[in-house]
Amino acid sequence: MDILTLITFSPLLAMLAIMLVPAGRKDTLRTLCAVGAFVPLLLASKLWMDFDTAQAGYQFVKQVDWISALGVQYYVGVDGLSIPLVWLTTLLLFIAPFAAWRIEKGVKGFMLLLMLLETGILGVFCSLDLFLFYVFWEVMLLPMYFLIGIWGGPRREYAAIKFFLYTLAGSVLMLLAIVALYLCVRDSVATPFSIPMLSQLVQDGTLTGVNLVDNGVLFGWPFLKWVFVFFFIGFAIKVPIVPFHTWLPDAHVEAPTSISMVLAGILLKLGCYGILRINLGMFPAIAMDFALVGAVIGVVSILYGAFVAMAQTDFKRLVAYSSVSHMGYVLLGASAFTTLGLNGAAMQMFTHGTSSAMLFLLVGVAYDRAHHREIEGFGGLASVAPLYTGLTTLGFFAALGLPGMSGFVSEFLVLVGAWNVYPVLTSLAVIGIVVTAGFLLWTLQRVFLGPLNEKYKDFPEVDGREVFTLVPLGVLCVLLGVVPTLLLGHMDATLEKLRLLFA
Amino acid sequence: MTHEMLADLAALAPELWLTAAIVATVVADLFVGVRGRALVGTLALTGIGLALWSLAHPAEDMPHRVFGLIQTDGYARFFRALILSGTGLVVLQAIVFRGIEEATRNEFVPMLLGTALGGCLLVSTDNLIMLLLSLEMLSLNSYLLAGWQRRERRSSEAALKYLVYGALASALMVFGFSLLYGISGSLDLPVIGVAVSAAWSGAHSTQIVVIIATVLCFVGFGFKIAAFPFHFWAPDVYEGSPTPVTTFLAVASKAAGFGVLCRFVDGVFLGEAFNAEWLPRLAHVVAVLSAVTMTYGNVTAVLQRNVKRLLAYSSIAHAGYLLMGVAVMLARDGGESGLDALLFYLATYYLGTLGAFGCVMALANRFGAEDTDDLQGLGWSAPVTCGLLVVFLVSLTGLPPTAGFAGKFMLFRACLDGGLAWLAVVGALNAVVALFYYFKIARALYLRGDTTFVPGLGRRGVLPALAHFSLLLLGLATVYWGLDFDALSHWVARSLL
Repeated sequence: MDILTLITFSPLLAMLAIMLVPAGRKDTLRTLCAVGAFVPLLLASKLWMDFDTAQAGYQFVKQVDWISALGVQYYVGVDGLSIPLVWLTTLLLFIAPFAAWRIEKGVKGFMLLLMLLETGILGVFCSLDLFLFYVFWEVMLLPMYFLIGIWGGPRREYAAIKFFLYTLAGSVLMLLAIVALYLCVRDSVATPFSIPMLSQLVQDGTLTGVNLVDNGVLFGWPFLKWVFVFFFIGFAIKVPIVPFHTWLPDAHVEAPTSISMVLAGILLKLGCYGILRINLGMFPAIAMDFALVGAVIGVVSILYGAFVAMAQTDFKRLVAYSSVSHMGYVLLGASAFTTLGLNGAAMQMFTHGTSSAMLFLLVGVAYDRAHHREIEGFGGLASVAPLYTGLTTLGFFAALGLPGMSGFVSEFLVLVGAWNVYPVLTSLAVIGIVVTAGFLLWTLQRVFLGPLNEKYKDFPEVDGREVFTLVPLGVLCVLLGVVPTLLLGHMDATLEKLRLLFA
Repeated sequence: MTHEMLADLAALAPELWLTAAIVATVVADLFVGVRGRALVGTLALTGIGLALWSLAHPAEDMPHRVFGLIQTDGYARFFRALILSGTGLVVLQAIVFRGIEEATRNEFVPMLLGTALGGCLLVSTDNLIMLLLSLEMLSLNSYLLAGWQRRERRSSEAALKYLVYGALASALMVFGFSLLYGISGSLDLPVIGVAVSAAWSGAHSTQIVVIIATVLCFVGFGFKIAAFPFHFWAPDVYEGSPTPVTTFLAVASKAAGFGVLCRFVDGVFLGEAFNAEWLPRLAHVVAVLSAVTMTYGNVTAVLQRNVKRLLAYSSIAHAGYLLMGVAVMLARDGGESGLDALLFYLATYYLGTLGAFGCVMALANRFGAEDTDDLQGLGWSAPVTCGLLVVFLVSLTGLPPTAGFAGKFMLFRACLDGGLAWLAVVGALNAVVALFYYFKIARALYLRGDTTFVPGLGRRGVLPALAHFSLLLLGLATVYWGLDFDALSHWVARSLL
C-alpha cells in the first residue's frame, strides 16, 4: 500500500482498535490513541525525508478508480504546499491525546472521534480529486461537532452547532461549485473531478461553462467567476475571514484544550489551503481579478482581529481573536502573487499552526489550575511558576513575530512580498503587528508580572506531561525562526510553479 | 387455463405471495390468538421474503402487460421492491417493539400487508381506473392503520383528519381523471398523453380544461406525497399514528405516491408528441412547489420537540427534494436524468427514514422516550442504537460518507444539468437548515443528560434480535452506498421508464 493511504487511514485503524477496548479501561484507551497517532507521525516524517524538494508537482501519487458512474477517483498526492500541513497535522494530533489525558468523561468516545478527525483532515490535504476532497472535508465536521459539544465548556452546545452550521453553509456552496465543474467537463474527460486535470482545462481556456449555461455567462458574471466565488465562500468561512469569523471565538473558547489546539493549529489551515490550492491554483486568472478584494479582506482581518483581541478579558478568547488576525496575513500574502508573498503565506500557515497550538495549550495549563481564564484574575505567576512563565513567553514571542522566531520570518515575507503590490494596505497591516505585540505583552505583564495574586501562591508548576506537549512546538518555533529554509526548502519549487501562473 | 393467463399470473407472483401471506396471517390469528405473535410475524415476513424473491427472479418470458392493466417493467419492479422491503421492516418492528396494542397486534399485520398490496398495484398500473382502485386500496387501509390505537385520542384524531383530507383529495383527483377521459376518450396514460397534447394545440377553452385537469390530478398526488400545500394532514397523522404506521406512511406510502406521480408525468407529459413549449412552464411551477415544500418542511421542523412530528416535517422537506427530480423531468426532454436522480434519492431516503424510525422505536421501547427531551443522555446507555441513529440522521441531512449525500449529489447534478441552478442552491441551503434540527436529536442523545449507563428494558428472542440486526444492516447499507454509488446507480439505471 502506498504511504499516503497508510498515513491517512492508519488513524482509522486505531479507531477500530479503540472500539474494541471496554470503556472502563481509560488508561489503555489513552495509550492506544497516543500510539495510534504516533504511527502517522512516523510515516509523515518518513514522507518528509523522502520528499523530492526539487520537484514542483505532486509526489507519492496514487490513482485508483472509485465511482465509475461519475468518474470519481481515489486520487491522492502531496506537493510542497500540502506536505508541511500533513506533517503538522500528524504532530498536533499526536500531541492531542496527551493534552486530553485528564479528560475523564467518555474517554473512549473522545479518543475514537479524535482518530476519525485525523483521518478526515489528512484526507483533505492529500486529496487531488474534488469529490474525495469534499467527502473528507465533511467527514471532519462530524467528530468536531461532538468533540466540542460533549467535552466543551458551558456554552458548548451553542458553539458546536454554530461551528457545524457555518461550515456546512460554506461547504454546500462548494459542493454546487464542484458539481457545476463536473457537468462542464464530464463529456470530454474521463476524470471530471481531478484537480490537476481541471486546473489544466481552466487555464487552457477549454473549460468555460458554455455547454452548461448560454455563452458561459450567468446573471451577468462569467460562469467560472461564480464557481470561484462559491469555492471562496466555503473556504473563507473555514479560515475564517471577517465577516464570517463569528463561529471561531465561540468554538475555540468552548472546546477543550486539545481540540482548541487542533482547531487553531489545523482546521483554520484547511481554509487557507483550499484558497491556495483551488482558488489560486485552479483559477489564476479570476484570482487576479479578485486580488485586491482578497488583500483588503486580509488586512481587515489582521486589524479587526488584533483590535478585538486587545479588548478581551478572557485569556482564551484573546488567543482565538489573535488567530483571526494571523490568518489575515495568509490572505494578504496570497493576494500579492509574488514569490515572497506566497512563501510567506504558506509559511505563516505552518508557523501559526505551531504557535497558536502552543498558546492554546498554555491557556489550558492555566485553566486546569485556576478554573477560570480571566486575564485580570491572575498576576505575578512568574514568581511561583518560572518554567510555565518561560514557556508562555516563548509562545507569545513566537506569536507576535519576534525576530529569531518563526512568526517573524513568515510575517516579514508576507509584508515584503505585498509591499510592492499594495503599499498602502501593507502599511496598514504593519499596524496589526504593533497591536498584536501590544496586547500580547500587556497580557504577559498582567498574568505573570507584578505582585503575586495571593490566591495562587501554591500555583503548581507545569508537569512533565504538559512540558512534553509544549516542548516540540516551542522547538519548532525557534528552529524555523533560525533556519526557515528547513520548511521553505520543501515548499519553494511548488510555490514558484504557482507564482508562474500569475506571471 | 391458457398459457397466456398462466404467464400473466406468474408475472404477478409478488402480489400473489403477498395475498397468500394475508390469508395465512388471518387464519393463523384465528387459531393461535394473541399469544401467537411470533408465528403471525414469521408468516408475514416469509410472505414478503418470497414476494421479494420472486421479484428478483422474474420469469424469462414475462409479458410486459398483465390483463392489459398492469405493467411489469423495471420501474414497477423498483417501486415494488421498495414498498415490499419497507413493509417487511415495518412488520418486523411492529411485532417486536411496543406501540401497537397487544390485543390487536395480530390483526394489524394483515392490514399492513393489504396496504402494501395496494401500493404495489398502484406503482404498476398506467390505467386510470386501476390507478384509482389501487390508490383507494392503499388509502383506505392507511386511514384505518392511522387510527389503530382506538383508546388514544390523538390516534383517532389522526385517522379522522387523514380520512377527511384524503377523501377530498381523491374526489378532486377523480374529477381530474374524468376531465382527462373527456379529452381523450381513453383510460390509458399514453393515449391520454397524445390527446392532451392535441388538445393543447387546440382552442383556448380546451387549454383551460387541460390545465384544470392537470392541477386536480396533482392535488391527488400531492396529497399522497405530502407536498406543500397539500401537506396539512401529515404532521398530525404522523404524530398521532402508532410509530410503525408513521414509518409506513413516511416510506412505503410516499414511495407509492412518487411511483404513480412519475408514471403519470411520464405518460401524459413526456410522450413523443407533447407540446414542448408548455413543459418548461410546468417545470417551473413544479420547481417552485419543490422549493416551497422543502423550505416549509425544514423551517417548521426546526420548531418541533416531538421526534415523530419532527421526522414528519422532515419527510415533507424530503418530498420537496424528490420534487426537484420531477421538475427536472419536465424541464428536459425525456427527463431521464431527473427520474434517475429521483429514484436514487428515494432509495437513499428510504434507508435513512426506515433506520431513523427504527432506532427511535427501539429507544422508545427500551427507555419510553418520545420527545427529544426524553432522549437526553441515551447515547451513553445505548451506544450502538444511538450511534446508528446518528448515522441515519447524517444521511438524511445529506452529508458524506452516507447514502443521503449520494442522493443529494445526484439531485443537484440533475438540477444544474436541467437548467434549474437556483433550485439546486435552494436545496443546498436547505440542507443546512436540516442539519440544525436533525442534530437536535443528536444533541439530546449525546450533549445533554449525564453519561451514566441506564440499563432500560430489553426483550430477548429471535425476532427482537432480527429487528436490531436489521437496523445494523440499514446502517451499513447507508455507509456503503455513500462510499460506492455504483451498485445503486446500476439498479436505478435498470429501472428507468
